[in-house]
Amino acid sequence: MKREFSYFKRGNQYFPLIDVELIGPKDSLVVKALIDSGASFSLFRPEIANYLGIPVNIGRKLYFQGIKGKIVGYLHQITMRLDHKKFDCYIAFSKELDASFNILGRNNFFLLFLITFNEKNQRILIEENEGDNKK
Amino acid sequence: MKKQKSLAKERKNRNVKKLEGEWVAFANGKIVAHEGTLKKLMKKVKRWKGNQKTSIMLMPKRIEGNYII
Repeated sequence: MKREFSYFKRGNQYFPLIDVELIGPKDSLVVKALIDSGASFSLFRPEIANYLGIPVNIGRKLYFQGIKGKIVGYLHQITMRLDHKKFDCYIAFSKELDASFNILGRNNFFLLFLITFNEKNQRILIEENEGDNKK
Repeated sequence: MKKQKSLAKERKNRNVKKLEGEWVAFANGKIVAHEGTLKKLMKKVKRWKGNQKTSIMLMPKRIEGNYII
């Protein structure tokens, strides 16, 4: 699998957002998420968990340190689809998340894909990490 | 010509500003629906008769500033 995305333009700024499908017990949803190599975990908006039918608070409670301070989130294992590849991904949902963007962090999304940021051309290339099924 | 371009830019900026803090659905890179809540947005999206798959996001507010996450 190899897929290229254009950066998302918002005013004068560009963001490396990609489309991923989240499959929950109640429904599924294609969501734009920010690829963030500085984030240890993926952190998504709680509204998305509600829509998918995932009770946020039953996940593993974790604290996330940001620049501004610490927030609490709940980690879940969610079925995700990128292009035609379906896999399990760990995503935390937090009601304390101030940012509007959903964040795709390293654990475990970055283990499954090779990710190339082409900042000059404002494009992001996602390739499947062939032969490596570590999670 | 320049004036026309600047007017178009102004209009575009106004539209983007209008969507701040709203849930927005995109299909093929274009906005197809927007609503105040995700639930309302998805109701609208399910009624939408386009062929393409939509993707959604919460449009950041200007006060969020630059991202350094």
